[in-house]
Amino acid sequence: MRRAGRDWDHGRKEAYGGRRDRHSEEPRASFSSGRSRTREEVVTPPLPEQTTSGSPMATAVDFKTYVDQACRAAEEFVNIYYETMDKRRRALTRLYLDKATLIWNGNVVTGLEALANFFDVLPSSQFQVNMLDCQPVHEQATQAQTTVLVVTSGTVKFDGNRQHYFNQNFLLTAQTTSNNTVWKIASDCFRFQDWASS
Amino acid sequence: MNSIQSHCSVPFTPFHHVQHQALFFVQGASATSALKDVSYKICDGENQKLKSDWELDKIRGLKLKELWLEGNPLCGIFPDQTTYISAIRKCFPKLFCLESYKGSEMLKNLVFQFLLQNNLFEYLKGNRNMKKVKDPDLRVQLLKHTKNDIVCSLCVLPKTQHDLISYMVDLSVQTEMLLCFSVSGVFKEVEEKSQGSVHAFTGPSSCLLTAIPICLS
Repeated sequence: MRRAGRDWDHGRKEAYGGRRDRHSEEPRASFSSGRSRTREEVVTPPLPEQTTSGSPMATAVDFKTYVDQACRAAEEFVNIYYETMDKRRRALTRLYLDKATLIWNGNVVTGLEALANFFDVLPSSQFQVNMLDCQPVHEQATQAQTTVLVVTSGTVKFDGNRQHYFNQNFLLTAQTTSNNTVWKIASDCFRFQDWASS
Repeated sequence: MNSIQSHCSVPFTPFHHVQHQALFFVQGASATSALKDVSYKICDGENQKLKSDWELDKIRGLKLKELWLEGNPLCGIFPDQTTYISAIRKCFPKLFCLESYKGSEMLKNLVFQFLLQNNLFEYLKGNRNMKKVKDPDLRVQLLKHTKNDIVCSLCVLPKTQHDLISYMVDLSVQTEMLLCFSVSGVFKEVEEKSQGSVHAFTGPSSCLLTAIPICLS
């Protein structure tokens, strides 16, 4: 069993703005709130205020709201993530938290610098996502930090090599302002699933 | 098949027949014409090589009810599916089934039956793939929420035996309150109707761990 991310930091102090390092690009689009937004940023509308009512009906409505938000975030995230991975690899680290952890076929990579080095070495890719699912993670487990579990599977070709089946899952964490919610990857787990050859 | 061949002036190669339906490999439009008195149902497969709509005119006289043109060069000469369908319709106004751009209904049913018999249907019917499920209400409905719903949905699935030796576990997040890990491996079904069916699986799990105080007196 691989273990990683023991000190996973859900703190709201995390800097979510576009980082300026060797992997960054200039912002290419602006968000309607007036805040500059890069192409590699996953932004959704803010979640409505929680209802204080304890009735079962109110709880059901709350759950649906959380699921809707999770689905919106997941769909936008997946579109941006794999397009960035395939076409703008050097900007991919923008989607990760500073202390994010990636487990790539059992190999642990932690922190933005290590992630940048890893993606730099990884051959060019062509991802095809065939399955996407997601769910909100209970806030009791995340110290009230809005978190979504995203699961994908599909096929990938690296640098013209043969096609592999892959599975990947992400924990996305949110920082909400009055205008929007910005999502970043706290944890990323990737594995090939080539059953016949393994 | 012998009966059809005896009535037909041109030799043909039988390909497949089920009850009252037959598929043929024929060399050209002349062979097709020769078969017109024998059957109103002809599969015009890729070996027939109708290359233009002019050649299509040769078989216009056939009162075809069903026509299969999958893989035929004829499909490629039309700019789009709509133009292609209207050209075929003009030739065969009584045609009710045209197989070329879309997969055969018979094949779809065959695959579906296979899934049912192999019990995969139990796993697929609640599939929440958001690439396919776009309805927001259905997305919520397919997500099992609360302890009872989760357990009830698991109880519906076939009884299984998991091969723990095949397990591969990636533990990506560990806090006081949360474990997030991804598991892959194989399992087999042990119910009578699907005994021995082996499936591979993979899936992430988020486990909420809560400390429960225990009082020892």
